[in-house]
Amino acid sequence: MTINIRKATLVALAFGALAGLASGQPVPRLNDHVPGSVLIYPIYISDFTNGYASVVSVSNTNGDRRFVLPGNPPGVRGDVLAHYFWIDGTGTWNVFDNQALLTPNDTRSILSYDALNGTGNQDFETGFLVIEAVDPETQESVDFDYLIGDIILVDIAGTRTWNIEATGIKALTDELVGNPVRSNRGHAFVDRVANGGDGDGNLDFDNVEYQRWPDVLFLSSFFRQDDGANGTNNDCDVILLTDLGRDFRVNLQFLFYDRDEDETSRTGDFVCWTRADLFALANITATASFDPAGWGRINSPDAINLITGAVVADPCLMGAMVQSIIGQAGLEFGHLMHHSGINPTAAQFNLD
Amino acid sequence: MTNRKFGAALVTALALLAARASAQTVRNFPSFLEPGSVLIYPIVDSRMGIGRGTVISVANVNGSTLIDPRTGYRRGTVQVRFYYATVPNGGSGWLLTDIPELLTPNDILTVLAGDHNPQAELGWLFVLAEDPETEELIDFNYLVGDEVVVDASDNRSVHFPAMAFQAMYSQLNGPPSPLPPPPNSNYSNLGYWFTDRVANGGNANGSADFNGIEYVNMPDRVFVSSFLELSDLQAMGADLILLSTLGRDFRLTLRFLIYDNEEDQFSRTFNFTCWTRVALQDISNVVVNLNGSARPGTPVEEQQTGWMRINGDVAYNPLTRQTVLDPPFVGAIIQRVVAQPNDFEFGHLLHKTGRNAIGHNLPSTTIVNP
Repeated sequence: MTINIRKATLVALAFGALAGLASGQPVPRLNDHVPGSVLIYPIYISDFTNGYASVVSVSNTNGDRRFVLPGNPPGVRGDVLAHYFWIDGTGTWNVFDNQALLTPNDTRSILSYDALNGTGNQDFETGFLVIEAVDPETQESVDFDYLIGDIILVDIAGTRTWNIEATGIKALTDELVGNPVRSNRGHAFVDRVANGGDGDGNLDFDNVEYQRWPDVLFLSSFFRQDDGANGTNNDCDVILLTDLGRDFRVNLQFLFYDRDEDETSRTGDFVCWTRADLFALANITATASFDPAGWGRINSPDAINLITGAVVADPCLMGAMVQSIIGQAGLEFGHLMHHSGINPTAAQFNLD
Repeated sequence: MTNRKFGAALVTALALLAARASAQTVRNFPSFLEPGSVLIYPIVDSRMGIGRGTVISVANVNGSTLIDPRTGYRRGTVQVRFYYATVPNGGSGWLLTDIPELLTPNDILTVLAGDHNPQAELGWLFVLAEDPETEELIDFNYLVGDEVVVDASDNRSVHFPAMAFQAMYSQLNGPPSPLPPPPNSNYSNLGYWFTDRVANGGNANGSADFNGIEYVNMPDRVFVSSFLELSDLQAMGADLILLSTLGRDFRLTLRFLIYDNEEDQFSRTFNFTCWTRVALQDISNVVVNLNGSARPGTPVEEQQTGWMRINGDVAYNPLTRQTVLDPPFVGAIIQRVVAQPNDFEFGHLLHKTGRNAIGHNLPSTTIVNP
């Protein structure tokens, strides 16, 4: 009897461990400053007429030069096709795409103007950029967590410039699927149904195809905007983007804290992508309390489809911030926003 | 069930438990932009005599305002200890100055480094979360920060987020009991695990250990995602900032793999002690000619850029003759284009991957009070 009880206990332990394993699976949480299969650049500027430009860089840290047999076109295992999706942020939300082959250890830096306006496009003066790793042979998405990138943003007339990293998002097929279907170059197809994908041709950030996006964004600090009162004129712009496209108005909740920890809550909204003055977006007129600096938390309760009225709860956001001190010198500086948690809503880029 | 099957079930259970434990520890690598318990600011330049200044911000995103009756503190309160690591005259070694500050819930502290620590000149900064009552290190993954480094003489500035390193114990075990801690408990009166206590897996050495037990490991390797060709050193420049947490006495040797615009690979080693800001051309002259336009393989619209992969090779302490293989380090890059009336300057943190197995700590040397 004692043995049976022990056996039962052990069996229960085994099943408990199984259940625990299921619930205790490591949740792939978005990291930052790491190589990924998708890179998101929160902003580009391509407005030569008014003296703005960007240098977009992407590097392939995979150095595998083993030849692929068969392969069409022939190549080596570390080859990848970088598929650029430029999303216009000036109101049309149109998408322009192009591709470039990155060989092993390759880097490609281009002026955004050469990729966009130089081809005859009149839009695309600013917006955001997504680069997806695709197989050069089939042009399907592949698990290729070797891409890193950054972008330099230049205001030539104002002699101001700043530089931010692209956010690398990992594909999860290799981590989650035991024996995935692979390309001739040996990289798992992300979107294939056989590999757990949904075969829809989109980028799904659902912790199955790619990592989910973060849940909350933080502005780690922003300076008081005194509009010249102290001989300086500080600007703080926030850059926000969502996966939801042109049809959704994303509602925002801001919580700002000053140096006395007083909390100010505000709401705002945007469509698709925005670069906006922080205090204008959040409808704050009195900024004196944020002296010398405050910090903020940004969340989105929902997004509303302006055509159908459909509501998406807790939509996904990414962002960056850029500040400038105009009065004394042409100083401009920015960085990606801090973030926390895993968004319960899956993001999806439909970039057709 | 036979005893053999029984044993198999036991083995299975234990294996799965072990798998679960290991599965839960896979996140012991840093996520620089998530709130953490340790913040590293890669550069502090307070040489005000030549127009340099650094504005440091740290914010406490914990908003718990419940008052703890035993201590009188609100539960989201934390003591942050600033450790300014000043590198004398840009040479080797560092001098540490520590300054504690109290952050109440949702608080932010923004300081000019030169005012906050008059001894600070050139070096770097790390900030540790401590219990305000006992001043012990705590698991308080609620700190975010950033810095603006200004060169007023040339109207240049760069902005870096602080690199956040998360404490591990709450990730593995959840938060402590909301009940008041018993005497000699392994969590504080305000409700945060002590990271350095032996009962929590710490080694009680008084430092923050980046060993995957107290705090996340350091990255294993870093990347410079891109740098512009320095074909005209009068008009352009690029500096790499590298720092090690091994302490003032270790000389690190790093292995660089540098790739030009035609994917040609160049290897180089480079030595530094504790912290350095070094011009790229002093690491390798490859950066002045990235060779992109010399061959038909590079499309004309591409800019002349390269990238780098950097690994720790070895660190050596000449005083103790201790050797550390694969030493950890982190860094940032600053680039500039010289123009009139103002220069263009821009920079970002280096990319990273993996986790370094070397368990080391901060602070790792004698502290000098201001």
